[in-house]
Amino acid sequence: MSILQYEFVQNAIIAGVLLSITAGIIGSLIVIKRDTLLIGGIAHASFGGLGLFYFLGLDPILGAFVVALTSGSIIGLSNEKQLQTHNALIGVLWAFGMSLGIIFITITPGYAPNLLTYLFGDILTVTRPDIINIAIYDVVLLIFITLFFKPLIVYLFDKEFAALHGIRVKLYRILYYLFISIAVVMMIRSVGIILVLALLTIPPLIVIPLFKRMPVIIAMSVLVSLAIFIGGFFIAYYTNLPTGPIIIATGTITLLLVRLICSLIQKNS
Amino acid sequence: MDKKLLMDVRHLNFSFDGKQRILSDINLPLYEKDYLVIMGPNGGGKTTLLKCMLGLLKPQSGKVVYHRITSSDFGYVPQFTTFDKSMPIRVFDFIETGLIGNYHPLKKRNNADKDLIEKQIDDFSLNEIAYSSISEISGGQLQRALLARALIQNPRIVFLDEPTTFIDSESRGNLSEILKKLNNTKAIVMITHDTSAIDDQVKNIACVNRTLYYHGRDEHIEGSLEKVYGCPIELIGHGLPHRVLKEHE
Repeated sequence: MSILQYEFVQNAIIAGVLLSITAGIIGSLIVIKRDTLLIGGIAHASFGGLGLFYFLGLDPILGAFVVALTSGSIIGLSNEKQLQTHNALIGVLWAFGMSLGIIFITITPGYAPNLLTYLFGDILTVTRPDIINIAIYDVVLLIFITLFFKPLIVYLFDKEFAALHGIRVKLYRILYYLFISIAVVMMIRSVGIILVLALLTIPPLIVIPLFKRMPVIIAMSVLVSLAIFIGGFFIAYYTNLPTGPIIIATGTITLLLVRLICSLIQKNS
Repeated sequence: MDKKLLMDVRHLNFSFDGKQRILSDINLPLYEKDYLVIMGPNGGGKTTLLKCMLGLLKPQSGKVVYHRITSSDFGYVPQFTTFDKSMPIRVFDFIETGLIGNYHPLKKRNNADKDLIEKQIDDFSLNEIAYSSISEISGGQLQRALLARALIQNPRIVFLDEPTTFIDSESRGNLSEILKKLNNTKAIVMITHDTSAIDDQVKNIACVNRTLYYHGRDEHIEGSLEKVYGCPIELIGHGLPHRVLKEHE
């Protein structure tokens, strides 16, 4: 295939593979822990930081990074039980972040064309340094999850039992939200703020009803994520449609088909 | 008393945000091979007291003193509502999480661990569902899996929080048998708001509603229960001296 000769296509595909690893692991954890709304809040709040840094003449992605890390740390340090009941507050954070971003963009002199790409992302703009960052993140995440998988699962599943058995629950919570916040910012560049949630949740939603064990669910989510990413990428390339939304549309249609087939099989058996 | 003291709660006061007092001035001993039932209405602070005893919550004042025991001597069977039943985990792996206290990142599960897990599966008749997900099993089976997980490290004290709530009467009978056997070697602390959960195995009853109304086991129990619940309650346990349901005032 001749399109593979272009460096930006190569970069996009390498980034897609690396981000599938990120999305499969992180997505499985947040879907299992039912933190989707919270992560949506972090992603959209980071748009505020993005706008602020743009206004200040700094790298916008750095602004998103600062806000995501800050909100991730605050969530990690605060009372989890209270947070989960404060859905409305997360909604406010969500809307406020988006509004701040747009306000800052508006008051910044000149047109801001590339800021819109942060909303929907563009995998074709991914650079080699971006790839190196994602690769480093993935290696750290893989080492962490391999070494501390069991205590992490007990933490996600039954915090009190974990605490009783000497697991440092607070440390796991902070690490969990830090890993998520960094993943969200990395994914903003490729699929955009609006689509981050979809890329994190669709693969585990496809996989979870089919398998019984967490390690299998994570591995399969990575593979499904990869298939959606690559499939969506080529569909977008040949139809000349925006990559991020096509990837998500591919994922959503796959999810619906898998669920439909599953329910048909269940009915017949 | 000649019984060996394992733990005692001394002048314990607890409030969640410094405002509303959940527990006040609780004093409660726990003896070796004790079978202590903590009763009281919902919202009376039973679970809070249990969590203070386990060291999961810190009291505002007073203390829980452990006598030659540590938290590794505790086996804990939490309420069904405290964890996520939809978590994709098989019964086998779920029981294994009972060993998490010994976890080391560079040590893989060895044969001794595997034998321990399999023994628990046998002991609690979970063979048929060992490789089913915990979301697919019945309330009684989940209760046995929780017990298997709590007991895998052979604890000296077993804590159970409302163990009878989501299980059928047959499973209740089983649970009662299991606890009776366990009590030969271990102390048992059980929380319940369900008076029918008290049978003749129970050695001490504590009635808790913000404060401790009664501890021990004799004919005063009914009066205390009346004070705690605000209405007369019949105790169905065989070994209890009175079974007369008094009229509501």
